[in-house]
Amino acid sequence: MTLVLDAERLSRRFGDLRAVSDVSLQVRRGELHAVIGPNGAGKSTLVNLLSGELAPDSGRIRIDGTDVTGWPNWRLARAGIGRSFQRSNVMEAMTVLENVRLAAQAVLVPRRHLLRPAADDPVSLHAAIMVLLRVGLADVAGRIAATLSHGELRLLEIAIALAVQPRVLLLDEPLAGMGPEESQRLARLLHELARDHAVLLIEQNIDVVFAVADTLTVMLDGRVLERGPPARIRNSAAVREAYPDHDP
Amino acid sequence: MSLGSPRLHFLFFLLAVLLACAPLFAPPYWLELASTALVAAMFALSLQLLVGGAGLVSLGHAAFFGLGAYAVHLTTQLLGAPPSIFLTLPAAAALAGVAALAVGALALRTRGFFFLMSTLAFGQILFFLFHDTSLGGGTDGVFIPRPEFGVGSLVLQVSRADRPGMLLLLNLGVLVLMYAGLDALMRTLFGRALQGIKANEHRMAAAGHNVGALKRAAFVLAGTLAGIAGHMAAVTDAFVTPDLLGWHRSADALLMVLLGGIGTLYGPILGAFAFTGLAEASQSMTGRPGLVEGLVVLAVVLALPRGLAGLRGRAAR
Repeated sequence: MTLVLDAERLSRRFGDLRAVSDVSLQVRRGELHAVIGPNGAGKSTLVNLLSGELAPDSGRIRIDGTDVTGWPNWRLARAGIGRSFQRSNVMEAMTVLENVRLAAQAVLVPRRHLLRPAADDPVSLHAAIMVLLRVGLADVAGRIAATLSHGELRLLEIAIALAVQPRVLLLDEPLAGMGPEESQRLARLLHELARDHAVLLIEQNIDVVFAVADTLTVMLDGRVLERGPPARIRNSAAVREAYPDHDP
Repeated sequence: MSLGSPRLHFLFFLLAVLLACAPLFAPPYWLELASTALVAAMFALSLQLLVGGAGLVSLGHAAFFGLGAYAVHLTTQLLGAPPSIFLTLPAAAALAGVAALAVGALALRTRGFFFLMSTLAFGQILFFLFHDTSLGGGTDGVFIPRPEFGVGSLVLQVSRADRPGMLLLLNLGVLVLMYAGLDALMRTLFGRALQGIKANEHRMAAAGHNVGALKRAAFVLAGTLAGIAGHMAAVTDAFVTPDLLGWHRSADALLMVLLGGIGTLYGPILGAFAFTGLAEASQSMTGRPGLVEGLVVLAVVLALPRGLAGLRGRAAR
């Protein structure tokens, strides 16, 4: 499997707080790499570093071997990073289809075509419909995003991330606030997405994480505490300590 | 921003034809008032590209309007004779566009309230370039000869009696072109991207849109169109004053946009006509136009959150 995302010794501090220190991480195509850890462990900061929302104080990020350290978020999206947000962050006043189509437009439509009528643009429209079919939102394509249920909104988050045709998918707590049945369905989708993407998953739902992850990284206080296949991490002392309620 | 349906555009077309026939029967006072409203509509429409189009609220838009107006004065001074409108119009558009490029490059580094304040600051800087300086022809403004309508020896001769009618036709033509162009623009992929930025700028950037470049393009285009509106104001009034660049004008245009509704492209045109009519009526009836304008705008904003354009949706329901 080819190495897609290669982060090397990333660090970022906020004042005196070392939110992320010295974190290295690699994700290959076809791999689902999950990052777990208690609140404040630095998981979200890590995603923000990898997606260009924040610049690292030190360290390197490579995508397919290209050094993309310090690139702004929009350039990283074009370089192949698609991300979803922990708190739904969509164009609420627009339809589901337009939300996804705009994301596809950003990466698929060259600048010289920007003055073409949007109604005649088959490229972004086709890409958006494919994504909606894949995540199961085709039925609600015409709905205004603000009217979606919580579960549908979480799916739209993933759909927008997928529409940028990413090589790497960064999913920040996609299961947050979902019921058990919805979680099951989404877990299947994550498993499927990992076949043709490098997926980095941040998630609190430990059961789903152990079910879908190929590799697990446990973070604590901005550092990597443990790393390995789920079977090994499941029984490690560190995880037992961090998740006392979890019964393996 | 919802764009007009073919049916609505047919209605606008009929109204434009009706207005174009006005010189046949209306007295000059009404023709001149209509021209004032048409120029205000151009200006408000150019601002709507920012406000309703990309969610950028500017308090310095009049600077580009005023620059467009002064472009006529400056070209006349440079050439020493009334120049052709086919020279002054591109000059006004270019001057305002270049200024918008410079202002936009700096002001668009800020967002929201800080963007509002920085546009206000840049607008006032440009205002003081013309206020009480030799460049602006003094504080009280300066009368200018109207540009000629024609090229070389082919010049349209207009008698004094026909002038208000001809100016109305010219202003109406420019407004129609401007509206049609912006309507087409908002239907392009670029227009859709601007709407996305208005809806959620951060997500658009995270999805790969070069938000900064898109906003700068919109800002330059809006400034250029404001320059064209200012040019038409100078041609209509044969007079320019530094006040044309002042923040007061920007606020008026924002009120027109608000009055008409930020949800549609045609709202500001309705707003500009309502605002111009209101200003004229309150001036002649009370002598305190500002007070009446303020009260009416307040009432409309409270009663019609979607502006005058929102009346249509109400009637339909």
